Amino acid sequence: MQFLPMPAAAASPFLPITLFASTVQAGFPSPADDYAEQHLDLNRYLVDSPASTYFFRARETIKEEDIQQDDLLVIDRSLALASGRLVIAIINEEFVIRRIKKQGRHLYLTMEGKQENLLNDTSSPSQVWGVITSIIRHV
Amino acid sequence: MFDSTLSPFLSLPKSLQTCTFALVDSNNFYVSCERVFNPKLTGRPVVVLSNNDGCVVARSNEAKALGIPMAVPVFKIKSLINTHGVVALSSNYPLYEDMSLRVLEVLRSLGLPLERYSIDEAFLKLSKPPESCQTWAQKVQEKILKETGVPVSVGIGRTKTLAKIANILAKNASHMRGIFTLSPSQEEKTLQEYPIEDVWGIGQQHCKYLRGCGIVTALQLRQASLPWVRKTMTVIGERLALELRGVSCLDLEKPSQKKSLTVSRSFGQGVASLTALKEAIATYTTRAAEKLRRGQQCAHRLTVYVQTNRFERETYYSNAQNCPLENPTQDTSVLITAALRGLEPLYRPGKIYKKAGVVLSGLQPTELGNQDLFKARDSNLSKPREPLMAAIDMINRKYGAQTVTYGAMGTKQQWTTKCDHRSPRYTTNWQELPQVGK
Repeated sequence: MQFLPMPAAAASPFLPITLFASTVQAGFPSPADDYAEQHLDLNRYLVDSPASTYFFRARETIKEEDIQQDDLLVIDRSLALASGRLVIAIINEEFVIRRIKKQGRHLYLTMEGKQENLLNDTSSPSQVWGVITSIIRHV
Repeated sequence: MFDSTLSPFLSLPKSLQTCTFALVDSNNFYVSCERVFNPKLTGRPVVVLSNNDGCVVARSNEAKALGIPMAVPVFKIKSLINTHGVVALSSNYPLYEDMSLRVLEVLRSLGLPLERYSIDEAFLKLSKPPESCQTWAQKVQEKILKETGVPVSVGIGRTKTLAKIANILAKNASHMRGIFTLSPSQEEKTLQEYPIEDVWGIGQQHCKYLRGCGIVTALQLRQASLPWVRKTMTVIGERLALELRGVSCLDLEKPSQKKSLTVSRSFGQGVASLTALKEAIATYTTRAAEKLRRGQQCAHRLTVYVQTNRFERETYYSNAQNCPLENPTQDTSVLITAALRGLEPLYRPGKIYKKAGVVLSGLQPTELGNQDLFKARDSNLSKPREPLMAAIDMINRKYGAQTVTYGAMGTKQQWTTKCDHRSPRYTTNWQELPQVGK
């Protein structure tokens, strides 16, 4: 049996082609193209180390430290404890805000001018939860 | 000492020839996570309960000391809880998963090959011999504790199996302070005192058999003839015996693409009405679809299943239905329609359902479109709905899960799981942040 070649019309039936759903940009390139920089990202501004960064809410206003009730506090646990740093500490099983102050050769946790606990007291380990790096407030 | 029949495993790839494995795992992980954000829990007996507050899934050392066993149903220890002031918390998975990822991130920053083994365990590969890793292990322990507040134990050995054994010993012996580096010269002595049932990978059946053959310690399995082990425990058992000998056969595993996805829950109150079942299935399907989109996958198949109370054996009813999907999809409403259609024939009136679920399978990455030329294009036009799915996901991410939901999920949802004593989602929800005062 001999197979006859298919007529041209039958060899090219209806062929569906994809219609692109979006248009192609055409037109002139922006003169600022080469100077485009990244968007400003608050995350990068506020967070250096995501794994050790946490958020706390201020339960009350602390005038001396310029903290208002409902302020959002950004805490970084990876930072070293140093004099002058504002921290979240644990005293009597509660989270409290304190400032680290150096007196002689020791570091103390202070609040509103009062010198309270001696830091690195071996009887109460891990007194400091983390260092407060930023205070954020909607105004 | 070892028989001369060389196993094929002894011609190893370079990466396994001189290596050390470390297993880092969190102590009482769920409890530890809770303690980070609630100082009042320190030093107290604490337990974390499973979904529906049914059984104990985690215990603090103080709770263990009271004799509370793992997986015990809560009602059995009610009096213990009341007498000793045990704090019982519902499981807070958003918190635990977030903390687990933080611990993992700290481990990743060490720059070593890493494998996440479970929510609270990870293997790392080091190039120094075990005995030189003590300082490294200490630094890792301190870094994780400082950055996340989670205490971990580190076990180090020539193989994964030995590292796991070292880790367990590190936890149980307080003088080790949670670190045990198992050097080759200590292996025999250590394994001699290590019971066979505690060896990673030995199941109950094998244990019974081995004990019957006089093998009761890990050392004895290590010294057993390899061909005999292969014959009685298959090649998997042989691998284990070799690992006990310090010959590494198990390398770090790469994370595998999920083949299927399940969302299911037990009902807090039993459910009898079809309406409530439909609400539940619609809700589980929505969650499953969200997970699909997050994993950038589509599903080929959907299966719905329902179950009555397993413990009432005379009336027990369990059934499942495969729901065909026209095209692979990640579209929530397409999936809900299919799931609800599949639920109808499963429903038997008069039964009280205790559990239901949805399984999405035949998963494939979204980029691979439908290759079949003869399947009709999805009449629901899945392409234009992608922006809708993306918008819903974005709103839920920004304002909290379930800000935008599907009507089919119901508004009252009386069948949801009980979690009366769940702590706040301290690290994943703006409304539930820990608070601090003066």
